[in-house]
Amino acid sequence: MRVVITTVQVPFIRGGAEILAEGLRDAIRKEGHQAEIVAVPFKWYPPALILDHMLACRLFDLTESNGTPIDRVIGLKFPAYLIPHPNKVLWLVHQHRTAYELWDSKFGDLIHFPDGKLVRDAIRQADERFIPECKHVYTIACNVSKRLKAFCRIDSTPIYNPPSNAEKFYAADYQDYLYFPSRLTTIKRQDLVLAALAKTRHPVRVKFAGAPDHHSYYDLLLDSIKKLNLGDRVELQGMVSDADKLKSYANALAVVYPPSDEDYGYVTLEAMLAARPVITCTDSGGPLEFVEDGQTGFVTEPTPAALAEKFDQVWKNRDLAKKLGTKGRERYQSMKISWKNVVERLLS
Amino acid sequence: MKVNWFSPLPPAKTGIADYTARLLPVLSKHAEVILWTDQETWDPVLEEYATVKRLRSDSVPWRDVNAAAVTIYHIGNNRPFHGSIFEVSRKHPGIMVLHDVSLHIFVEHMFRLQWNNLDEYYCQMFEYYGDKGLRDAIMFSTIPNGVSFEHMSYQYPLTEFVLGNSTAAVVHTKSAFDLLQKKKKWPCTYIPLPYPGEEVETKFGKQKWTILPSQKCKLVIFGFIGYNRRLDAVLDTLGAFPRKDAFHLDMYGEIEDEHAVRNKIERLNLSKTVTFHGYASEADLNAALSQAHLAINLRYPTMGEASISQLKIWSHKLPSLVTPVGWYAHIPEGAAAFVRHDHEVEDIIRHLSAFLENPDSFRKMGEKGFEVLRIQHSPELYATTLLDFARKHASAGVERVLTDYLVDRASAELKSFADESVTDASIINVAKSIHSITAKIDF
Repeated sequence: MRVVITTVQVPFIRGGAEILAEGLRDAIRKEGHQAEIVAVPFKWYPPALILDHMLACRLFDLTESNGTPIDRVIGLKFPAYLIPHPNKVLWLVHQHRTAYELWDSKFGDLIHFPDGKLVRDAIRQADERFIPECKHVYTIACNVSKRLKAFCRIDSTPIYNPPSNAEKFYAADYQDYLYFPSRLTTIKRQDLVLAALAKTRHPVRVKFAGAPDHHSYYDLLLDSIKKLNLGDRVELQGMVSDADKLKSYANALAVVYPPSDEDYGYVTLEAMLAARPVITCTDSGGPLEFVEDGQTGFVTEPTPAALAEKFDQVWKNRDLAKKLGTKGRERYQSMKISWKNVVERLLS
Repeated sequence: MKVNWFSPLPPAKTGIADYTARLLPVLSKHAEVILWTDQETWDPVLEEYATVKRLRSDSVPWRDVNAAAVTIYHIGNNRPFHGSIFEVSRKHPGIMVLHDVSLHIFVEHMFRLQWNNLDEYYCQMFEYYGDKGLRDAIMFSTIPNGVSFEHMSYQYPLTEFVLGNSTAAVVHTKSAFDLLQKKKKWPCTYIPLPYPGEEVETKFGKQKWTILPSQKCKLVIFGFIGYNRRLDAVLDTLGAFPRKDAFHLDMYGEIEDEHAVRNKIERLNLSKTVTFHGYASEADLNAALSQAHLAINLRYPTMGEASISQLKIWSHKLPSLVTPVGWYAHIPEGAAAFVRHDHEVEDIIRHLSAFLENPDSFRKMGEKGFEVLRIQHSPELYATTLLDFARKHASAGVERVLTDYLVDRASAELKSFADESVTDASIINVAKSIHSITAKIDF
């Protein structure tokens, strides 16, 4: 089978969606098919540019390539999943979120523009019209399916996929730090973790790994570290190698992952693979599909005080961290998450 | 439902501000209304019914604007009252309530006085009306008395330009509705102008009207009395009417050429028959109308707009003489007496004679007018119809705005390709793709 995966590329930004696309491509190839990623460049501001991208996507022709038919298109992200194809399936990473649940949230951007509502409505209209073109509608997580149903009244089936290098995760000694690997960006809420650190009773330390999406947020974090006097308790590692990431997971006391309404969140699964408990929040979305409060981690209110309490709890009780982390790994294994399963469903 | 309402507000001296003030108590029963204004002051009573927000077209809090489900703009021909509203409407699509059908003067003033860009005015005139439109526009804006403002308004209403970025249009007259329907470009509705139809005390009440020989029949004209109010014809008729002593005409408001009118009154020996009172407060005018027998509300030419003054006349159960053109042509039979613009003297004489013969038939005319007001111009009906229409077209109407944007965008790109490389097939493909994105879905 010749398969094209359609997604978007924001140059110089790399995160879970890029890893997912590459993982899918590799998994399809592993099953003996041909697979390519077609990534459409995407810029979402000013809002009218989104309309341009939508039109461009509708004008692309992926029915064949160099005279040979393309048998299946798998759409991942807006607006790349608008590209027409008679055998298209959707494996939705997420819709354009600021046109939906983030519209009037503090993360909303469209709402600040005079034509924001117009563009929002165009996006919603396009989703309602073109997603049903797909032969099957899958999503990467229950949280994404829930939003799709709530906003567009479209039913879908979630299919979980493993994080990249899933087989390489390991567990080692529990050392004195919490680990928070993620892009540094407002929606991941590193600032909330810093505010929580300032409220702990114990000298809890946190290692942050990941590059900033935008320098302004990085500056804000540096400023907070300084103001809250956290210089000796925080480490900003920036981009790290895979080996360093695996090691950081393996030695962490626990993993902190409190994003706002995450779609899926590899961090949760990676922590489980490394037998680390996950501390997340009640509004974190995807992680809540895996983290059971008091069983495989902690689910707290998204406030500095509530998070600080859990940080202290793990910090002073390594046995508890070990117990929750082990249960997390067992839970991951019981879920039988595999690329083979993903490929079977998407190509069926 | 949260509604943005961009309108002049009292104490601004415009009928549209009064319209908003009259409608607001009813409107606020059905929606959360946010009033947007660039005025520095407004009647604090408005804040009993709505939140008032200050508007500056160069720094609009779009987050607040976008928080409403529906945005409604009110546009009329007066640039100081509507200029900043129009500027916002060009950036943020919404539903436009047209208080004037022809908006040429407004548009010309926007280009000349607000944007200092007459060249663009000429471009728009050429785009909408071709060579002749362009020629007349140049004459109109550069040669004093070169082309009359009436000519420009009638021939080149520029309504489409004003509606350019709107998702739907609301008008107050059937003729305006028919005109816009023909364009097939905007969802459009016609809702008769609202006016409260509460029982008012009139001097004569519901009793049968009889006029004693010693009694004068009170005629009344009010408002801005310009050329099109046909005062010349009224005075000529009165001057020649054998039984003119049976009438007294009271005029309230502003006369366009007061000096000429006073001369005419003197020349026709009507000094005892006609009294000009000048500006009257709302209370004084209401008192005068409740004492009157017959209102004269002629207009020719007219832009066709609905008449608040006629609604005011009906609210006092006053019979009236009107010119059957524009909105007035659709007044239900028996609710007013018609004066044909090309037979004015003849018709006025006929109606005044009829009044003296059978005044009670005119009382019934006033009653009928009041019924029309109560049924067709109910603020409650207006508010619910407007909000239903707005709700329906708040999202669906964006299809045209989106189409316009994408067509402009695609054609700008296609223009940059070599002519021969742009085939019909590729244009059709682009058109189909645009249509697939913008074609209407009802949410």
